[in-house]
Amino acid sequence: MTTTKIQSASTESPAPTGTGSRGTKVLGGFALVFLIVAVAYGLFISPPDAQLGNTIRIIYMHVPTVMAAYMAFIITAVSSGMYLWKRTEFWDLLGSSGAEIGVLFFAVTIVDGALWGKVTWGVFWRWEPRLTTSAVLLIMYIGYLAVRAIPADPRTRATRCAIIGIVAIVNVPIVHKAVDWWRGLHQGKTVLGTIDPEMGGTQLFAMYSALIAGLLVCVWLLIHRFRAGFLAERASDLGLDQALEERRLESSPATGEDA
Amino acid sequence: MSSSNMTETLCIVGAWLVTFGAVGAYGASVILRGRRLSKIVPPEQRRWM
Repeated sequence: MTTTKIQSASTESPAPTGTGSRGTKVLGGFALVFLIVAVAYGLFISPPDAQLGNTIRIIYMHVPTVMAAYMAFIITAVSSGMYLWKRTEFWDLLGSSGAEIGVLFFAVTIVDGALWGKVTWGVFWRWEPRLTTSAVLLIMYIGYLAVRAIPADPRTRATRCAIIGIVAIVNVPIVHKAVDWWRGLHQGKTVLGTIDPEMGGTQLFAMYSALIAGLLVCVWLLIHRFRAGFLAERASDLGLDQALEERRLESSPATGEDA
Repeated sequence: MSSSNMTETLCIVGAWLVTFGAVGAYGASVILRGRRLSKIVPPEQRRWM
């Protein structure tokens, strides 16, 4: 009996010391490879574009970050719907993780776009349709995170955030289609959503490498953020249990001081 | 190097630095937060798939 117990304990792998696992290490490795390729081709190997010149190198970062942000926002919307249906912590944590990572990538997208605008238009910002709808989208998801930070009962907070997560996703197709629906300064689709991309060869390779790298990094971050959120909830539960135990001991009549 | 070329180079380098810097800093903060929380949470509650 004792021998069996020792054997099972020795074969069981130790608990992880963080949010990493074998799966995240493999995923991170792939992301790193694609990032290295994207840097090599995006900054050094691919030639300047005939129309955009060297500013196409900003687009190699701008497009992958916005696609990663869209993916994170879609995950938040799906998780929000699933939370309202299932009412489980998993969907709430996944939704909030997606919103946080989406805000990060979308904020980076806007900064990259502003830098591209400075070179191309001569200004960092113009209140044209794509940029205005993008600003509204970012503010909506910052609102999601702000609501999440308001102290409230976890279920009430999760319900509020789930509703915002579903409402906010409506703005994603509006942002994406803004260049088709309204006349503005922002250029139309270059690669994604076009049958005949306006770039080819090493430029297209650089773009797709950066795109795959961006999506892999987004998924990698999402897993780590989800696990960190899960650990934070468990730590919070432990703190609550400890506080309740201390309170119970304080109010216990069988203590030496009370006697 | 002309002024416009200088602006172009600064904006290209800036865009890549902002992207890698922001995503890298966020990733590092999440990893460190996870490690800190792992010291509090019992091993049986932190088993990943």
